[in-house]
Amino acid sequence: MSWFTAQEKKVLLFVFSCLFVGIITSWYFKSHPKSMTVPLNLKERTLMSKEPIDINTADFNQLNSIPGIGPTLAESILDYRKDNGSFKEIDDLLKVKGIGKKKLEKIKPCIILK
Amino acid sequence: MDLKASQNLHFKFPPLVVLTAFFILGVVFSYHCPIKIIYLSVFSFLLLLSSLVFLRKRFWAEFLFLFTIFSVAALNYQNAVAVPKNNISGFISGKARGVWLKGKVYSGIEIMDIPGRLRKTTFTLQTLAIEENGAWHPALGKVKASLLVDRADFEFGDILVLKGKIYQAKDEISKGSFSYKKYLENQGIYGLLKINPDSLIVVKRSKNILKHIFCLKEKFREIINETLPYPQRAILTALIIGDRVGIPREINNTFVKTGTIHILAISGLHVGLISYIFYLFLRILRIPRRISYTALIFMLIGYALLTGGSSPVIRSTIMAVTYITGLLFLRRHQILNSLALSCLLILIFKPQQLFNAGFQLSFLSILSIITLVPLMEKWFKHRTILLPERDVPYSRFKKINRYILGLLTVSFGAWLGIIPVIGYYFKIITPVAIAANLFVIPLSFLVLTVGFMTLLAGLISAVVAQILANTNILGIGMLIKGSALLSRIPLGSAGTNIFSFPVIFIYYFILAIIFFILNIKLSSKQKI
Repeated sequence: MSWFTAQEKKVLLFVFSCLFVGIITSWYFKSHPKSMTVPLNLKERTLMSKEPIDINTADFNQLNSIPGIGPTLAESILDYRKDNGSFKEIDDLLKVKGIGKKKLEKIKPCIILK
Repeated sequence: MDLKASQNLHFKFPPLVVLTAFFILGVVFSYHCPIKIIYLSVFSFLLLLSSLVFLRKRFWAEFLFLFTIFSVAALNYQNAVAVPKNNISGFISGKARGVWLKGKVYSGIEIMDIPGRLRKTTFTLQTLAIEENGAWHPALGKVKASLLVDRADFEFGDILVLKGKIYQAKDEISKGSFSYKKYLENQGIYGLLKINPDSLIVVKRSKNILKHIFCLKEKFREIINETLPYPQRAILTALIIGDRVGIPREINNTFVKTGTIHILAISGLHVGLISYIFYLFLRILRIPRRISYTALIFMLIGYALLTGGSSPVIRSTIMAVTYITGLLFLRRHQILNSLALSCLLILIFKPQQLFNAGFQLSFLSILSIITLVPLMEKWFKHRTILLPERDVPYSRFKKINRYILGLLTVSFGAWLGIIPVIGYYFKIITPVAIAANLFVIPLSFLVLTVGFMTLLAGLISAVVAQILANTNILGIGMLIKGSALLSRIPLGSAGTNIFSFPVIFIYYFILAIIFFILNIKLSSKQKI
């Protein structure tokens, strides 16, 4: 009794051979994984450090290292401080161009007001 | 479902069924007798070569071919359960510890929104790296992540950096009891993670097309939450988008006791209904058949992805797609073949699913419906429960008769097929399920229809959506109250511990023998 014709068997054997090759490749990559360690970048170090950055005294580089703040926003914060003086409370950051409620929530864990 | 093809009582195993049976045997063998991958690889390679060499030899060809399938299946399973050296499980110890992780959101976001409790967001995180000593170390794998936030600011595919407590899931307390750890490992999830919401940042936003599908899912969830009260919205969320986390435990237990818990899992009923509604909609717009069929295939695949792609959804989607493809290319549909194909495809990609209760229940119920229901219908042809057909003068009664008989046979057939599995996993036997399904299935069909209409209306008009949703408040309320009433029927359900592996094997062996004997008897009667 034969459930498959010779042609069907050829097709199925081809499919299962491809599956076999795929399995062997997958197993090889599992047993020989790439083990490249990547050092943390500045933003990641700032996020993970227990020392939040004082928003009233931070310079350009310190502001730029905060996750969520890029060079343009760092400049805007410095310009605001020059024109209006120190921030009195965290929510004053909403007055800076480019910082909305969502952005503020994002950067809050990394900043402090002294 | 096309039962006509399976009403051929001269039962022959279609080719894919044989192939799938040997594939399943290979997976089961590999689970119980793990052999090293290197030996399995060499053995499988030799078998593949031999199968090609002896392709035309009458005696050896079939044996070698099926044994090759068996061997490749065993190899596939061993590879699937092999944990890479840099897997996240290597960083998880017995005690919970705080870690910084970088990972990708791997699943849709599920939200548990129970009144009186903080909103809990859960999702699967595919870890990429773990922070140790000021550097990222590769740590691949998946963890089940949760956090308490009002609104998650991330979506499917986004890469996150976050801090959380990582720990192992609970293993079985005693031998034979449920192991959450094994259940998760079967899905490739190796740990649990409680995220500190203040520490989470989105490093990279995804542009994946699946993101839009999950956005649509969130939109549907919003519409349901805005139009229905609790717990109706939890039930409809489970029925339509497959998110069951918000269902109260008492209601869940009621459905388990009445043997109707299957309606809360997206499966053939939902896929069939959505295909029908969508196809009707396309035909009303006078879209040509071939284009309608093609659009339907893509829509079904999208729905399967939207609902999370569990085994029952994938099974019913593959079966529906093969049926529609048959219509497209004017080929006859063989339901057993499409069931076997869906089983084979799932097991090739996720062989561990074979040991998942949802997978087993889904396939066993459909298999028993396909094989047992035609037999029962033939048996009952002149022995109807309500009215004998020959005495019925009006066609309207015949239609009702046939409808009730159809529901009864399907309910009884499915129940027969899954008693041991329900008994094994849930330690319960539910005779009331046969009657409960007569009430629950038509009602859930109505609830689903109105639910889909609510969602489509909700995309255009909140007012129309609310009007439609009010119908469902009643419908879902009836579903909950009806199930609660049925669960209180004396002897409707009973706890049991009798279903061990030998008992399950003997049960299915006896069922198969009864099936073959009845098949031969009824086919000989038919010839006469």
